[in-house]
Amino acid sequence: MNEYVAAAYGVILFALLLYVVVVGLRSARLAREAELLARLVEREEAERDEAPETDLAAR
Amino acid sequence: MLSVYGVFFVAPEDADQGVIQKIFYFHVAIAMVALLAFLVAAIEGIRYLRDRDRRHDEISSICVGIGLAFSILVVITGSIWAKASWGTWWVWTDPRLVTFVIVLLLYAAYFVLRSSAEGERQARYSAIYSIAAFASVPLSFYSVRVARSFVHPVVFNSGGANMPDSMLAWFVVGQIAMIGVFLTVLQLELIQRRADSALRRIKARLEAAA
Repeated sequence: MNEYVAAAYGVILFALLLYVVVVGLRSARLAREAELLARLVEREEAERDEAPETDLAAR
Repeated sequence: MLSVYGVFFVAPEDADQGVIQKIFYFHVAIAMVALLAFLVAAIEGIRYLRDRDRRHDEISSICVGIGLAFSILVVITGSIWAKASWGTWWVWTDPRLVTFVIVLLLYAAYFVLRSSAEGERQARYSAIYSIAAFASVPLSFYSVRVARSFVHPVVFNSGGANMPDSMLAWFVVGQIAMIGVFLTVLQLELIQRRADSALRRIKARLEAAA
C-alpha cells in the first residue's frame, strides 16, 4: 500500500483511538466522583441513624 | 470495518491516481459529516433562541466541537492526499482549501467566544455565532464550483457523481459509517455532559445540606 494512503488512514485511526482514550478517562473520573458522592451520602445516613440512639443512651 | 474492507479490497482502483485515490472515500465522507455537524449546530442554535432550552445549546456546542475535530482531520488527510497527488502539502491559490481553513478558524473562534461568557449569555452568544458562522459553510461548498478551481477536483456536480457505480457504492457505505461515528460521538458526549452536570448538582446540594 502507498505510504501516503497508510498515513491518511493512520491519522483517522489515531484520532479515533485518542477519542476512545479521552472518553475512557472522562468516564473513569465520573465514576470516581459518583462513588465519592455515594460514600458521602451513606456516611451522612449512618450519622443520622446513630444520632437518636446516642440521645436515648444519654437519657 | 465493512467500509474499510470495501474501499481497499472491493472498490476498483482509479485509472488516473491509482491507490492514492483511496484517500478520497474517507476524506470526502469526513468533510461532509463536518459540514453536517455545523448544520446541526446552527439548527440547534435556532431552536435554543426560540425555546431557551439549555439542551439545544448543549447539542449545538457538541456539534461545533465534532465539526471542528472532523474539519482538522479533513485538512490533514487532504494535505497528505495533495502531497501524494500534486507534490505539495498545500496550495494557497486554491479556493476550496482556503475557504475550508476559513470555516475551520471561524468555528475555532466559537470556543473562544463561548469561554468569554457564562450562563444564559453564553448560550445566547453561542447560538447566534453558530448560526452566523454557518454562512461560511455554503461559501466553502460552492467556492470550488464558482471559482473554477484548477487543482481541487469536483467529484459531485449537478450532473451527479463523476465516478463509476462500484466506487460510488463504497463511498456511500463510507459516508453512512461516518454519519454513524458522528451520531455515536454526539450521543456519548451528551451522556457524559449530562452525567457530569447531574453529579455537580448533587455535590452542590450535599455541600449546602452539610
